Amino acid sequence: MTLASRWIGDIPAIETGSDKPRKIIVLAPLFEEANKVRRTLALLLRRLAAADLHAVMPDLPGMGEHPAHLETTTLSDLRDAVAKVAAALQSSGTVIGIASFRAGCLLDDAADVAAHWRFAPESGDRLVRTLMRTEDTTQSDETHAFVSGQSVRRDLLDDLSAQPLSSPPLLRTVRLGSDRADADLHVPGSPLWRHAEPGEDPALAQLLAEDIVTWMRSCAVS
Amino acid sequence: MSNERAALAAEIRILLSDVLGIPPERASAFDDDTELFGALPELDSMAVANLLAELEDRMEIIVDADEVDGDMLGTFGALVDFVDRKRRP
Repeated sequence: MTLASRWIGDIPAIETGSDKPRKIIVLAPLFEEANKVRRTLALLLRRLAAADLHAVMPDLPGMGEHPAHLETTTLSDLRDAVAKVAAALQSSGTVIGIASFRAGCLLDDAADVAAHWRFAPESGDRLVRTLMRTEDTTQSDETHAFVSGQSVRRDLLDDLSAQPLSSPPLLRTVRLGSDRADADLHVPGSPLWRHAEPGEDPALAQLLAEDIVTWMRSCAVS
Repeated sequence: MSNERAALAAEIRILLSDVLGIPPERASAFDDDTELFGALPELDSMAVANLLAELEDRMEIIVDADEVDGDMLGTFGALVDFVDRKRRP
């Protein structure tokens, strides 16, 4: 299955299996973590398409190929983009669920979708705490913090910090075995998002894709 | 060295290998005197942030900003001691 880029409204996305009527949205982690896992998520998209799904991963404002700059991005921009992608896909088929990674999980309730699957969900306050540890105060000012090599609105950081992980009724949570927090399933693997360089984990992509497909199918029949 | 501390040191070697992207064989040679911050080029500010976040996830501890300094990350032994102290009730 080949990956293609396309625009969904004003939001760039990569996708596989666009001819399939059953659609799934994949939300990447936010900020630098997204770059670290992008290749593994691309493998995951291909696996989802092989299971007869149209898999779509949007680049949200300030991230990836999106033309908006991160230094102007607010939490509403991120959540609105997720809602727009879901609405656009609903108009051409059925969105059976949303699979989100890390801090992407903070946005998954913005889409009007029943089945939620999460991998290693990161709470907003932990995300922001880790980002603030990288702050270069010589480049920060009153309105923007320079974190992880980028200028980010302080109100985005404040809003993310206060944003709870939602508790949708149809939710499955998967974590790495090294993570002691509660989960429906713990899987072997290394936290790619913490690595110094982007990496690729085909075995993890395969395992997660299988779990997503099984879970989404069980939600569809229940 | 107590068995408990040795087990903790082994976990932290794996964690360093994961976060710094160094081969497990290299991390497995780390002992208490191995210098970390300032001696490992891989341990830049982003890596420190990721290391602390991963320690928090795996060890169920919270590391405050004022606890992070050159001493705590100076040597492998100092890092293990720090986590060991944080994990005690």
